[in-house]
Amino acid sequence: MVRLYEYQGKQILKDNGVPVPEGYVIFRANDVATVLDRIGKNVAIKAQLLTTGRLKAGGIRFASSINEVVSIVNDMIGKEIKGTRVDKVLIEEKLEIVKEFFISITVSDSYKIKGPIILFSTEGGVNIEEVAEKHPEKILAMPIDYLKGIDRDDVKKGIMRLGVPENLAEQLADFVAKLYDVFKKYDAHTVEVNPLVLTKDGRLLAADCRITIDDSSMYRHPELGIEVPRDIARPITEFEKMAWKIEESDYRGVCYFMQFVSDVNEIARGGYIAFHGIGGGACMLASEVLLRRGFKLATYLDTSGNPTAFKVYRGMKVSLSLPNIDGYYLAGAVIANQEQWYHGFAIVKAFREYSKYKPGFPVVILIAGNKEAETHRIITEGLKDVPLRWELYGREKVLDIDFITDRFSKLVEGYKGGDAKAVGSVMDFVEAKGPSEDELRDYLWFKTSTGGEVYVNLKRCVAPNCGFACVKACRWMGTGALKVERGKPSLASRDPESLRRLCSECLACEFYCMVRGSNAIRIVVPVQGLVDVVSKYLHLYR
Amino acid sequence: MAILVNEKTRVLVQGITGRTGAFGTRAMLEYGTKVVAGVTPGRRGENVWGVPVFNTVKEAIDEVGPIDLSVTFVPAPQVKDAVIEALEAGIKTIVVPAERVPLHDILAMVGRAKALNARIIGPGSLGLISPGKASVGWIGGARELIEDSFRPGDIGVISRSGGGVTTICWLLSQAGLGISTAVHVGTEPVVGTTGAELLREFQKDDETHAVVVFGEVGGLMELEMAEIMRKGEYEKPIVFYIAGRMLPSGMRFSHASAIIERRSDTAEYKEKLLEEAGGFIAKRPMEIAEIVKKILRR
Repeated sequence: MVRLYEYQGKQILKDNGVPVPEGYVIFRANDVATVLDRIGKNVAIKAQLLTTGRLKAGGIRFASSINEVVSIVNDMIGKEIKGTRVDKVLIEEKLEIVKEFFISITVSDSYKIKGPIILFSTEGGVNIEEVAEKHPEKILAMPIDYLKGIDRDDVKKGIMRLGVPENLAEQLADFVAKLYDVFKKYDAHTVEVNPLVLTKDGRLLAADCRITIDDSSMYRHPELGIEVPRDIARPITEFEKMAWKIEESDYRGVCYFMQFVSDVNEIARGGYIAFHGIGGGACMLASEVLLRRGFKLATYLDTSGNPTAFKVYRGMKVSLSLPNIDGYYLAGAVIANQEQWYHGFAIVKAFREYSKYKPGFPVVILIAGNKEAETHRIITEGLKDVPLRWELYGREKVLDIDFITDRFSKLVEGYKGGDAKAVGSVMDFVEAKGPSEDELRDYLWFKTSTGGEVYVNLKRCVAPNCGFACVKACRWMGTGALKVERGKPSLASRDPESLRRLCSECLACEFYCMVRGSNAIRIVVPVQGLVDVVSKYLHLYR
Repeated sequence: MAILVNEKTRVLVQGITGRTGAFGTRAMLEYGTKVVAGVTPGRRGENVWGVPVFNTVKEAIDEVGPIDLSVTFVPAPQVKDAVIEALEAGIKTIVVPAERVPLHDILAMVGRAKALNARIIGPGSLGLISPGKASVGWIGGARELIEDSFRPGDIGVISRSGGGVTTICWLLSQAGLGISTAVHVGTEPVVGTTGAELLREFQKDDETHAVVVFGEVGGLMELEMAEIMRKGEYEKPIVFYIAGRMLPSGMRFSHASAIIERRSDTAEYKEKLLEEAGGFIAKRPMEIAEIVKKILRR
């Protein structure tokens, strides 16, 4: 679910005819005067955060003079509240409140409901779970038949049963109906107004609001301008933004990346490892063991649902590009159903490249399930002679995460106590470069559907002596972008568009040319934005 | 007997001519599932691995006779229409593998199923399998893995993770136990058939003598299973493993439903409630088979 800030939610409410207090978002104290000119001097100053409970944490304050407001704004912006740095505040007219209510429309996964449910309470402005415990009689819970929609009269009667007079109940039911329209129109998971206030001058207003939108529906709502629809209760990091682009631009399989630690400076201090699981269940199984054993995880990467080798490689590259990590823990900690050889190719490519930057780097790989034997052969052959501390395990150890973790600890100790030292610049690893213009005439090459480039060095190519390893691999694991022509590998089409379709981005040709042929194929898989982000933090890498 | 699917179940594949549809159909046929027809609009008259293709679900039923279950290999943005078509043609069980289905589409599908007294498994479900009888969806992948992981037997399996379902079944099979039916309920924030409902089915099934559950943090599923157990609607032995202990709150862990927002979402809380309701808790997946054996005295 994508959480909206209070001010974003209120804008949506306002656009849809739900009354909200007059207010403006500002990012610096310089703008206070303009805002107070419009709404007067009695105001509330509210830190914009994605977490709840900011009132107790000092995230909502009141003032009645310009100097006071300026000093509060100066104090709030830049301050850390509930683990996030405040970068914007909402300044609103101060309300004279007579009564506070709670209203929420949310989706329930209960087997009895499996649909929307309206929760209404005459006790607003407080934690609703506490009300539910102490005064269940003050809460109206009304499941809604999604296909029929909301019945305003039922809602009104329900509210009256809580002792609200008919006239007010009528107005409240209207309010609920409008919120339900917003809930449907924006594919929301939750539309919550707490408190909904009745003011001295008789207005009903949404004094606060919390809207979450379903992330799977985001493609229907470009108007919301959400850059990264991920469910994280803090601002998205630059690395996460980049990883989202990988996910968004390729629908094949999942590449879910997030940082356990959002601050790159903190990760750079050292002592962190990169975590990568295959499938949600595997990720949870393994990461809980690591956390219990006191490991500090920098990242969480999940590649599952049969992603392409390119997609897996890109996710790994983002993880490996974080500064000064001490090891890579790849846990396919379940018997996976997907075909895993594509993981095999991506793992080999990513670690071969990384080993040049950080020789001796510790890696454990656990891969079990469908195509396990084939995948193990690929990894074993591909990482043979590569200067890393790497170990590979399969189904015999699939649930012995403690054992895998013991091994990993040993490898990390060996690395840190020994040769933990980078060679050259991280940029050599980060930048994906193909042959130069001059060299290009020796190459056969084409572009893939997600901006990759496949280069075959014909001078170096030893076909047919290798048995056309690349073409065979392409037919077997891929979808046939390569063919044999006059005793050499060749492209299956002259049309760039057809080639984009024919190449399934599996990395098999590069791998088999390396192990069976003459290492004449080079595939460049750029990660959009990676060079820029890493350049920014270059001073942190050691 | 098994639940939901057996060797007699007549299965339809929607989206049968697509890459995943054709691949899934082949795997199901190889396992012995009775796939009787497929649907792809505009592709009537073709066949996929010998299965006849029709333009609509209704047309398929008119030609091949009644259908018990449909599996929809249809991408998320279009899956709602496919499911509703199948429901309205009278099919009572629909399996939906698509992940990342828009939430309000799920609500519309599930609402329609309820009104028509039908059942949806998923969305985001790998499928289900009654070993030795039939398999629907994606479960197991290659043949050798299926044979190794899904021995027939008397243990029901319910999982919130796709890898989890195969792992639990593999563990049980390796320990000499077997499975009656294994179901992956799906990874979406709302699913058509929850653990609580499956427990009622397993209670009725004479061939199931115990159930193993792969649960997760977040959501109501395990809490409601505890409720069903407390009410006596499920009374057979049951073992739970809850994944995600120690994970930080406020972050989603791959599955849309796996997020800790309140105390009742945590693994620790769920384990306590389930234990109080008479369930057995495996702290680590490795312990599962051992616990089952002990309870069933095998």
